[in-house]
Amino acid sequence: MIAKVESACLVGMEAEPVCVEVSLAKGLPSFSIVGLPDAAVRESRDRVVAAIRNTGFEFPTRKVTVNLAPAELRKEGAYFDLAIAIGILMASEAIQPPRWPRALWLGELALDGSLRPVRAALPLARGLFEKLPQALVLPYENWQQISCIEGLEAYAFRDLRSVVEWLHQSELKPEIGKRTAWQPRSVRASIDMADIKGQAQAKRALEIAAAGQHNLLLMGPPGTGKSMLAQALPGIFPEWSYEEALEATQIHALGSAYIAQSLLTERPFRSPHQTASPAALIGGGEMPLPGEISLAHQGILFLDELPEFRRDALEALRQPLEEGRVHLQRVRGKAVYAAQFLLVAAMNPCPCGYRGHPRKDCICTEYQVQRYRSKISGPLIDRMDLHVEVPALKVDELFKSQVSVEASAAVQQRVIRARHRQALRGVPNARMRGTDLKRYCPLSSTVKEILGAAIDRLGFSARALDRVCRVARTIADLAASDAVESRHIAEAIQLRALDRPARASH
Amino acid sequence: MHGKVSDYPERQAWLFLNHVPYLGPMRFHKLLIAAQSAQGILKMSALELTQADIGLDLAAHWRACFSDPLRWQAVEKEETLETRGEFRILTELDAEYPDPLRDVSDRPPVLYVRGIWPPQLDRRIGLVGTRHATPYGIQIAEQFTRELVSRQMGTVSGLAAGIDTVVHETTLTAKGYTMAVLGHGLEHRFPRSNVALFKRIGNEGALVTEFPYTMAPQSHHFPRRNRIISALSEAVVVIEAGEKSGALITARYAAEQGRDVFAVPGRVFQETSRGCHRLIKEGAGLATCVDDFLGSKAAHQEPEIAAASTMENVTDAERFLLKALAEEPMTVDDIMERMGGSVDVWLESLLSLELRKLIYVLPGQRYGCNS
Repeated sequence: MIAKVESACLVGMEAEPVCVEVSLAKGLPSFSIVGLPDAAVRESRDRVVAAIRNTGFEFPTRKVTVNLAPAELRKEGAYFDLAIAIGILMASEAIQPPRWPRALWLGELALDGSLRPVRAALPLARGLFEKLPQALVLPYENWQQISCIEGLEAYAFRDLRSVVEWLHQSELKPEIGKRTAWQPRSVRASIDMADIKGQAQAKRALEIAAAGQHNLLLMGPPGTGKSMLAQALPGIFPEWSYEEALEATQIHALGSAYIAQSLLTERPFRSPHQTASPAALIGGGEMPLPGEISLAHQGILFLDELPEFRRDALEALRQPLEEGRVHLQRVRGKAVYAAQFLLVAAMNPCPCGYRGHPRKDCICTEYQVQRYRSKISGPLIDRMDLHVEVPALKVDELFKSQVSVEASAAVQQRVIRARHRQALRGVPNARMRGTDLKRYCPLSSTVKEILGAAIDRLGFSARALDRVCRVARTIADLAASDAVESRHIAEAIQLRALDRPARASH
Repeated sequence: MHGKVSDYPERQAWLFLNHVPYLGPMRFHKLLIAAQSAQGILKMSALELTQADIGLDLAAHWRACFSDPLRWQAVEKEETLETRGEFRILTELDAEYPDPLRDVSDRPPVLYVRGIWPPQLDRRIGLVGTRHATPYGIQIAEQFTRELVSRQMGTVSGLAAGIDTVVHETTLTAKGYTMAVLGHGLEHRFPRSNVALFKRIGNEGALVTEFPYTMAPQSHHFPRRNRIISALSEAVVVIEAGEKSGALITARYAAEQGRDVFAVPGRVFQETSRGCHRLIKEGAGLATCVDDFLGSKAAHQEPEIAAASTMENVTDAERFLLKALAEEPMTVDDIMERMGGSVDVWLESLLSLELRKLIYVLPGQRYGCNS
């Protein structure tokens, strides 16, 4: 007897449909699975046998062969338990359903016959839905996760017994929960802009970074609140859309044993440790899994103590920063993961940390400072649109009540407006290149004069010209101005501290 | 193989003696008087050396050195490099050895020179100062240097960080002639932050050192090289110096060598000007403009303090800002707290003031006033 049950598994980030064929034949009782199964798939033999028996059926005492087609595809994970069990019950005619639903069967079986959730159900369901829109039969605990995919037909069950009962009913009545409308959580509760003392310039840089998707470098002595500033950033980002949340959750579902109830509710804020390897940052493994940059997709990647990171790890960031995704080739496969994140980096101004500190003296020589800064390569600095110094506060400032404090919510409103203006143009400011830049960022003669003066008199590097224009465009957007005016350019120049040489040490 | 010591020409003997440890210029000249020639020194026995006031141990050590073939190879290497045009070696026997040095009692017997030699300009001023320069010192150094170049004067300094670097850089940018006196051999580059400048001076100016090609920088070399800076200059101007600055040593040498010494005053509280103030108290000339130390009686031209034309377009808010910054350098936060307003507006005025050179930026994003 032969039975066929449709199932699927994930290969990298791709969902691949798999046909589970079960054949019962005369011969010594045995149970084998063929079709490049990995350890988790092979072990499903024991789970399936126990689950079938504990649900109250007989396991056929015949030669059982399970084939997973297509044969050349390497199968991973415990997705097929349910499909194999149903296939065996069908083949041995233990169940004889009046009709057969066209569906894909996913689920891991426990020994007592209950269904366990599978890994990465969201990317799997979404990928399958795009490839061939079919109904899904899956464990109840995966339901919440995939319920956010609009238009997907799904049937969720708690155990093998209820699946069998459902098959015998004359009408298809899925046992499913109610679809919950997805809602992003509004503002990250942790740090509000109003909680941060002083640092007007750095806060302004955060606003511009959030508005134009500009990568940001914060430079300042220890204890001046660089990390705090970075953590305030999610609070001024616009609320994220359903699509963004879906994309981000999908990557998170792959990357870890993450089985969430639903989509992520807030933007990811990832801050990997300085010792992170290139593979940890950009992704890796035999079968490549997403790294920190992909987990920060649609969110923020915060690299504290930037020069302490391994050089090769930092250099690996360059291509994803430019492209918005990362291509990984490893021993057992390749994968492309989305990685559109805002890079926020923090560093001390020199090895001892106190250069420019109002109370403490810096003990570093000019050369040490130079060497410290050169740990971050020119190309990487080039990809940072904003670099600001975060000065140490004076003692009296620490205890002073603030003159004007703006809460994150107010800043967020401006950011949303500025992003809206960009959306109308179709390019985020940070990604504007040659022609876009010429079209949306025309420079008047006064603006050109200022830029020329900055290059002549401040030793401002001309290489950064495009970056300055992009930042100025964002500043103009924040001010709801169509033209880029001289004051916008002036501010943009002030927010690029590393482009001008500094010689004075006091 | 090498022949007997007497086979070496006199010039090579000079070079060799410059390599011998503990044989400084003072001892060299003393021995030279005793032995009549460098070859003669090489032939002196340990006993003769002790008669010339050299300790017994040292005399024995030197005797061993004199016949050490490795040391002779170092000399030969220098000579090959010289023929290849890497640098020039000048002994006191050479006509091109700078005349102003000949009068100095502890003049170096040998000089290594890379770049344009003999000097393009006979009149040179030594401009020296602290390694921890303030914007004030940098501004003065730039202004004096440019003025000197425009009057066909060369500059001399020590290629250290801070004021020295500014002097060399400004001279080269203004297409002038600058001399850098080093505290190490030409093989090395120190400080590392000045590697590019080192190359430039080697092409467009002159690098001068008394130390053999391979000699590494050592802390005691630097005070010593200052006597060459002062000797090669007709006057020495100390632009900014703390109480223990090496620039003060240069000033002392200058006084000993009969050169004029000038110092630029700063604020009384300013630590980096204390050395200058002490010099002035001890009788150094007060330098506020180039004419002060050029001794020319021509129309005294006080340095331009923010010329009127640049002040014309200053708005009221900016004038207010300048006044506040003149008291002490401030960050944007300080400014906002004092005067309110929003960041973007202040950032714009700050840049416009900076472009007019009315203010400058310090590390830590603090702004200071230039006048």
